[in-house]
Amino acid sequence: MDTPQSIPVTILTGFLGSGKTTLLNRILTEEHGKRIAVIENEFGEVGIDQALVINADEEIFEMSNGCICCTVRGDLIRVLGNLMKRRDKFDYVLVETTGLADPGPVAQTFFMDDEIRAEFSLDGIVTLVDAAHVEQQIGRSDESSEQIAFADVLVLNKIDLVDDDSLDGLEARLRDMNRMARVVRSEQADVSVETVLNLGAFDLDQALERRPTFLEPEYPFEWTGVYSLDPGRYELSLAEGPDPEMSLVIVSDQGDDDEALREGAEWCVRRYAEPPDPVEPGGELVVGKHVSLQLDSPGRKNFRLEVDAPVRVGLYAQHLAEEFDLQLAKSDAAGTENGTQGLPGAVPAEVERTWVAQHEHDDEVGSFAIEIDGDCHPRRLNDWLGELLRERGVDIFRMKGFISVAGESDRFVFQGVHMLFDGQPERPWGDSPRRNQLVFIGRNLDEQAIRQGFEACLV
Amino acid sequence: MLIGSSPRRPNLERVRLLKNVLREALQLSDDITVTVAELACMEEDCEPLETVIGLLRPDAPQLQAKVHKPMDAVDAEDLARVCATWGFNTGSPALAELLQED
Repeated sequence: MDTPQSIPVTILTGFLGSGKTTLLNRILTEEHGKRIAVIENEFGEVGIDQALVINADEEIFEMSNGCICCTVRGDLIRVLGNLMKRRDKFDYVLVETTGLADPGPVAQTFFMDDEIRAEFSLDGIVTLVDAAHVEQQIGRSDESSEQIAFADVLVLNKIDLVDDDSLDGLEARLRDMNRMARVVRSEQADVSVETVLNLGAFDLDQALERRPTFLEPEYPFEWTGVYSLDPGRYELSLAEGPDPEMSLVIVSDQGDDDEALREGAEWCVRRYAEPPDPVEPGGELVVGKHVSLQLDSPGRKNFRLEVDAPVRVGLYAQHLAEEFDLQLAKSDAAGTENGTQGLPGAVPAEVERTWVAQHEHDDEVGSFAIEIDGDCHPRRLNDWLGELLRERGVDIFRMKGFISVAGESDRFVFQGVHMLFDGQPERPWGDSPRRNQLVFIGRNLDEQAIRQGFEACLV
Repeated sequence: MLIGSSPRRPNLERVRLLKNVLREALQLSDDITVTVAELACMEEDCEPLETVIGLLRPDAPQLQAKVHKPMDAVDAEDLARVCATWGFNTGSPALAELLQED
């Protein structure tokens, strides 16, 4: 490649009123030493210090007469083509889209001409979200969901207009829709320039290094309590809570450190995949079985647990213990033991742990991660990936990850925008475990089918 | 082939050559943009790599064509076919000459 260094490009999206222009002005006026060319299509050609501002009339066209159906922005290609002739005048490009723009065609534009791909590098997509109005916007328009789904950074702006509880709920919803993005809160788009520029989000060499936690798995349960039990009869007691039933798996010989809890969690995931046996109040709990506690009657409900020998058990519950005031108590006890408040004979949990729970996704747009050890068969992987992109590429907004290909010493990193896929061997696996990690963000994606499809590619 | 062992990087010289040849052959003005991209094709029974060529004109429909072969293999006849698809009558000998010249 004869281009010395490609020019990074940040795409700035967000609905009207979300604070894009405030953030843009902040970036342009802050002392960061960069000469920034701004491409925008809401304003005419305006002179701003240290910036070239170029107007681009929205012009979308579809390249669809062959294998790849890809929507790109013709206006942006032309503007970037002109910028290439003046590349000595700036060292960063900001593309500000209109509030109603679909980020897909803007992002794809950087992959649909090899000269642009070499001269510019898409650095990241930053989406401004108006904390006070985004809930209504998500419901009303596809573009708003897409702008959230495409983002590498979500700036949750105008937080001073919303209370803390609503903000936490909103942030959880944003994370459900896009678990790849970093969420930053701000009042008047007052985020530091480093938060939004030079993200390297599309850089295959570092895209995954920056966000190692986005693969934190989701579990079908929210809470685990570990209890040491002597032989005897116990009652698991629950008050009325937010759900008329609750799934539960009890694990015996449960360790109390984090590794043991994760092992227990993985085992329970498989139990949770089996249909639960409903257990009515007063019924017996069976260790190692997926049960569904029936909780729709009023008042506290008790379930029986028989312990033959001293054992440490782990209760993996669908909901948090506090939501049902869950307590485990010895049946024949006559008073409070161990200082525990509540039921007579209540046994305190030695260890409690919460898990990232699988949410019921109300939004059509969502994201999920696949993390699995092993090597992929290259041909099967190609066939599966080709079919997936061909058939579901329209609904896959972004994907990224790394894959262990059988027979290859380097790990293979990839990313994609809709049907466009870019990948390369990266660095040797060395002593690290050969683990595949993939993240998908899109509309109405069938997580189970994609997961099974990928698992079928393993050797 | 989507997953492979060799990194796929665009041959920038070749991209610029193809663009310049089309630009000269079709005598395109500065406000017209030619795009060239080599992409992995995901259709069954297709070549694994295809070359997508676009012609972006202001105030006129955008044109594009695909050559079902890698960019390095695109020759004068392919370009002539692309031009013909777009309604330009440019013979392959002229294009071959331009390809040769550059």
